[in-house]
This record gives sequence, structure tokens and C-alpha cells, in this order.
Amino acid sequence: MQEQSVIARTVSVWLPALAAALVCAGEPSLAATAPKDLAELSLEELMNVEVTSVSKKAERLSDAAAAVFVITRDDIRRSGYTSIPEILRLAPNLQVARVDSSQYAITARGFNSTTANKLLVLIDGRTVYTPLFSGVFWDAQDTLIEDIERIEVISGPGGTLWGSNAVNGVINIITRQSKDTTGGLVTFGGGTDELGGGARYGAKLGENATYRIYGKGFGRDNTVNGRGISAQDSWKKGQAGFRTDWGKGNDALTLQGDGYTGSIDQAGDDKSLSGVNLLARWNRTLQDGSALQVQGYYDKIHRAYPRTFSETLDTYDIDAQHRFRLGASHEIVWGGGYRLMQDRVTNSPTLAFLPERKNLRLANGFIQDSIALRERLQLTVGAKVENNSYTSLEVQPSARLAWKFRDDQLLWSAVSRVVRTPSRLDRELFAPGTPPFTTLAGGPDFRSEKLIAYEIGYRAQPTSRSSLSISTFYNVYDDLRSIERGLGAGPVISNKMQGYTYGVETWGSYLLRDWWRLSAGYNYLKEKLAFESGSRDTAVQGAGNDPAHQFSVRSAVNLASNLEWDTALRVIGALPSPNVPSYVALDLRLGWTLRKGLEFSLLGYNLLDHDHPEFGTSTTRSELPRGFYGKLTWHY
Amino acid sequence: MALLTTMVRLCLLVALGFAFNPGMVNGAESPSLTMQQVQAAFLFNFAKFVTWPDDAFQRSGDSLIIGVLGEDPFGGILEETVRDKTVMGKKLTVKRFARVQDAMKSHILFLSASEEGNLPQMMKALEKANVLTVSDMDQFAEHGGMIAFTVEDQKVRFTINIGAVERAGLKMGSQLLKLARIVGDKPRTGN
Repeated sequence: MQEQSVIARTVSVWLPALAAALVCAGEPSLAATAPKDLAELSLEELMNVEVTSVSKKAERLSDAAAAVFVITRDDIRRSGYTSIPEILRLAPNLQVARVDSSQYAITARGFNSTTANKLLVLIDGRTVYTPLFSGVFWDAQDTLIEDIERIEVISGPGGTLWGSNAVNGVINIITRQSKDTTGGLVTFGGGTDELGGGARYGAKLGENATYRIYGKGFGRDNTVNGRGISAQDSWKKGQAGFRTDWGKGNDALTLQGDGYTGSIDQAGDDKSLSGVNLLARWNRTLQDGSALQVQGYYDKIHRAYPRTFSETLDTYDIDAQHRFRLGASHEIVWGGGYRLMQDRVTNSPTLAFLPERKNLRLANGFIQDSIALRERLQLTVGAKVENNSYTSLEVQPSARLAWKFRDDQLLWSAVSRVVRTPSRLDRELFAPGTPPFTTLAGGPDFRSEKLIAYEIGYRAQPTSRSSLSISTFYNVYDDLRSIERGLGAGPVISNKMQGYTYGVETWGSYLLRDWWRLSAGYNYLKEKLAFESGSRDTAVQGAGNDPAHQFSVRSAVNLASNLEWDTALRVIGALPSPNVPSYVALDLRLGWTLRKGLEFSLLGYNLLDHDHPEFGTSTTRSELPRGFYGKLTWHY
Repeated sequence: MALLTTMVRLCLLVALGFAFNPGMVNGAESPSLTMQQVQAAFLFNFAKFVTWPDDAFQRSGDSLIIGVLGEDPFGGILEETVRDKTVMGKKLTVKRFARVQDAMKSHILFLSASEEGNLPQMMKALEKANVLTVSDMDQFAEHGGMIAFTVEDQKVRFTINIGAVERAGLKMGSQLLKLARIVGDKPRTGN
């Protein structure tokens, strides 16, 4: 009896203290240091003080007359995702569908497929689409995720500045400058479907330069098909690279490169991929205040699918641009470039690219003028002229108007013409691999696909804690790819599809509290494509498989100054043909800063369903599983 | 015995509870603070390392004025920071301004992000006014501002546009310059 009352007394003393301690865990210790004490610190000491920039102040309202979504470093870190395609899901103006363990179908504004060809993707200015089908092999595009500064996702044509292939959008992946990545970083993680790690070290290189080197590797598990049988598509990849930046006075120089090698499991011998690239970029501010940039890169990739085909592609690219002011109201950018692609394919009995060796050349020149018509009205006109190995001159003009009618509101509109030039797949694909080519006999007359795009958009920052963007588009397509009867043994690839698409993309962000940010995005797409009279093709859906609606909502909560809780929910509409049912996916992440420089992240993905498909025909497609991934990151 | 183990267990729980308290973990060396508190401390410090021309203080009755132009992000933090302090024998006062013409009376002027839209006109008006312009707007120094705050890895850094400082008739101490990233005026370039 006596003992019990002693315990009761002890508990009644300690319990409130415990409760107080746990409550304290949730409060940032703001009042810990008064402003007066801060003022006592020296400059150096002040520069060592850490700020909890939870409520990042609202970004300045962008003046861009285009639908641009920027995926920031913080967005990337708080998503917990480990690959670029998964990170692209954060952009509400993209369609991202995972096909299997290593393949993705990614596009903007329609026409999605594993060979989606209407998107231009660049990493630090290096174009990463393949001339084989004008699309991207997403399994080869990677870097150390922690070193990505931001990803700019522009939906809509970018023909004038970015060139052909930027038909429906441009993805610009920008890595951090080496001066921002000094010190060491080690990260490793594992989960139900993946194991991986990476490391990076950066430092100063003398007075005016910095560098970093990194390495990473991962293994990703196989997916399963609808009946639960392994799709045998597991894969692993290793990559390493470096970057060095030098700057002095009016000059800045960057040199960077990466190398990777990987293998993808399949029934039979593994597929292999490898590549190496080197890029140099020089920026100079001239006497008159204008800016000059010259960039050159070399990119070599090798891909081998046993018994199907293998390819080695060498790309040499050089381009330059000059930006200067003319008078009080003109800002002009002009420039040009040249690219040589040496493609060497090894064919198989099933299909063949003929000729096996082909050199493709691309030369372009462009000019763009941004004119301040009035103080808040800016007109940007420009055109890019291209000459490629397949078609004659392609001209891609555009005009954009941006009207900042209030300090916090902008209205913009644009008209552009852009083309998708032929790829090897359009002109030179034959099946079977040897004559007679009864299944497919190339596309000798294939012309560029054309688009005239009309866009209107609105962007606003209603309060300092909220932002909103709405973009609408009406795209008129002509000369889209179709399969027609040829003169010889088999059908040929031609341009007898046309039509229009229209839609709305909207997104917004709201800082409910200093520690809670909510973001949402929605897009709607309607496609009306048809074959021209005289066409023999019947498969309109061959153009692309796209959902009419996509919706996403994300919540970022700072539970404590060292604890983050992030939620991402997406609802993707059904794909018409081949039919893929609509799905809802939920990802949750917990981020815990154990101590300065040491962060643990636990991600649960696809939590609502045991597994779900995102692309492909029901008989063969993969289903993506529910899973977890825990990661430890150490900065020093 | 049972009482002791219960007490020990409860003590451990309390100790663990404190382990999650960020202030305790980091200790006094780097407490977590807001941008405004740190910026205010920097503004005070800048006063120590910048030299104004002699006649700059005639208009203010021998006190050094720290001004805020536009929407004030500091609340009372600036006043708190400079209360009862002097720099070079001059008292420090905080004033708020809505128009740039009035703001020219100050010696250090913090331009709020709300003024971003009018930046070119403001920079032109302040060019020769002996005022140290400071802000955390994007690309402030590149557009003619003198000191721009940025945050890198959760720590506050600043960029100084030397040309702008000189044009305003001000001189900056080397202790301040060596800690900053220095830029010159240049037009916006690509990425």
C-alpha cells in the first residue's frame, strides 16, 4: 500500500515533466536566442548560424510567357524519390507512366508511349534524346540526385530557343554548381524493391575554381505481371562523374562529365547499356554588358539488346549564343549550333535499321527579341531555322506576349510553330531484318510532324503565401505519323494523321502555416486525332495513350525543426487504348534529421494498392508494387 | 527496488523527450532562428564596416538610420536588435518608408521583396544617394543592389556589388568584403 502511493506520487511528479518534455519536442526553440544576443556575434559567427527557412518566402512572380513548373531541390529531397523519372511525377504538367522496372513513358500534353517523341530533355544543356526514335531512354538518364539544383519543366512548344523535338515540352535538368557542393556526402538506402548508395566529394581548386566528383550505384527489383509472375526485368547500374567550375572577372568556365554502365535482366541474356559524356561551357560578359556563351559536348552511348539489336551512338555538338540589349526596350538573343551524330546499329533477323551506319547532321540558327512594348507589356518574337539530314530547312517561329497587369498577376499568350523532324525509326526501320520487308518497309517519304500551338496562361500570387498558375492550349497537328500501304512488299511509315488537342494545366501552392505547405495540380487533355482520307491506317491510338484527367496533391509538414512529414497523392485517369484503369497512388515520407548533417528518410510508396499497372496491355504489362525505401544521408 | 526502476525508467523517458528538442541537441553553438532575426543582426553589423561620407549624417541629426522600404518582414525585431546600441558614436534608429524618395534619408535601406516589381526605378533613384541598399530579393546584387542576402545550406550568406557601393560614395571595410561573394553589374544571362 505504502509502495503504491510512493509510486503514485513519483508518477505524478515525473509525468507532467515528461509531458512537458515531449511537448517541447514539437516546438522550435525560437525564443532560445533573443535578437539582442545575435547582434553580439561577429560576422563570421553570424554566418554560421542556421536558419529554419521552413516558410520559404514566395518566389517572385515569374515573367515567363510559358507554362513553366520548377521542381526545386527541396521538392526533390522531400519526395524521397531516387530516380529522375519518379521525380518528374512532381511536375503537374507532365504525364509519367512507369512501364516496368526500368522503362517509363513520359510526355507532356499527350502522345505518350514508350517511344514518346514530342519532348526535348536536356541535362545541363546536353540533349539526351536519341535520334533512333526522337525520344528518351529513361534508364540511361541519371545523376546524383542530391546534386540536382532544379528541374524546369516547360509544357508547350519550345521550338525557337530549344529547337525541333521540343514539340510538346522541354525538360531542363540543372545540376548544382560545384561551388555549392563542397564537402562530402554519403548516402545509402535499401527497401523492398531497391538498394543503392552514392557518394560525392567537392572542394576548392585554387583561388577561382571548385570541383566535385561523385559515384553512385543501385539495383532495382523486378516487377510482376498481372498474374503475379516476375517480369524478369530487374536491373542495376553504376555511374560516376565530375564537375569543375572556374570563374574570374568576366569569364566562367564549366567542365563536366559522367560515365555509366548498367545491365537489365530479361529472359535470356541481359540487356546492357553504357555511356560516357563530356561537356564544356564558357560564359563571358563582354565590355558592352552583353553575354556570350559557347558550349560543346561529346556523348557516347552504347546499348545492346541480345538477339534484337545493338547501337552505338556518338554525338558531337557545339553551339553558341549571344545576348545583348538594343536601345531601351529590346533584349536580343541569337546564336546557332551544329551537331553530328554517328549512329552504328547492329541488326537482327526481327528488325533492322538500314543503313546500319548513318551520320546525321543538324545545323541551326536562331534569333529572339524580347521587346518591352510598355512598362508591363513584353512581346517576345523569334524563330529558329534548322537543317537536318532528312528534311530541308525547317522554320520554327513563335510570338509570346506577357502582360503583368498587376504586381502580382500576369497574363500571357503565345503562338508557335514547331516541328518534330524524322528519326531513324520513321525513315529507316525495316521488319523483318532481311528482305522482303513484309511487316514494315521504312518510311522513305516521311516528313516532319508539324504543330501550331495557341496558348493562353495566367499566373498570380494572390497573397505572399499562395501562388497559382493556369495554362490552356489548343494544338493543331499535321503530318503525324501513320502506317500506310507502300509501293513494295510491306507497309511504310507516312504522315497521314492529323488533328487537334486542347487542354488545361493548373497548379497552385499554399502555405497554410509556417510549417505546412500544400500544393496541388490538375490537368485535362482532350485529343481529336483522325486519319486523312486515303489513309489505310486505322490505329489512331498508335499516336499515344493519354489520360483525360490527372490530379495530384502534396503536403509538406514540418512536425518539428528536425522532423518532416510529406504526403503525395496522385489520381491518374484511365488510359484509353490499350486500356489501363485509372489509379490512385499515395506516397508518404518521414524525414528525420538525427543531428547536424545526418538525415534519415523513410518513404512508403504506392501504399493504397498491393500493386497497380500504369501502362501497357493487360496480358503483358507490369504492375508496380507497394513498397518502402529507407535512406541515410550524411553531409560533412 | 521496484520504485527505483520505475523512477529510472521515467527519467530515461524524460531524457529521451529532451533528445528530440532541437535546441538541446544543437546546444548553444547553433540555435535555430528565423531569417529575419539573422538579417537584422547583419544589418546592424554592416553599419560597423561601412563608411559614409561626412555630410551623410547632417540630415539625420547624428543618428544612423536603418530603413525598411515596402512590406516590413521584421516586425519589432530590428528595433530589438539595435536598441541602446551605437556605432561610431552614432545612435541607431529604425524607420519605415513607403516611397523611395523618403527612403533616401536613411543610411542603410532594406528593400522588402514586395518592392521587386519596381526595382529598376528604385535603383536609379538611389544610385548616388549615399544609402547602403540591402535586400533578399532574387538577383538583387546583379541588378545593382549593394548587398544581397541568400541562404545556402540553411546559413545566411551575402553577395556584394562593389561597383554599386562605390557609385553611392560609400566605402566598405575589408573584413566585410572578404566574407562576401563579389559580383559586378551584368545583364541577365542564360542558365
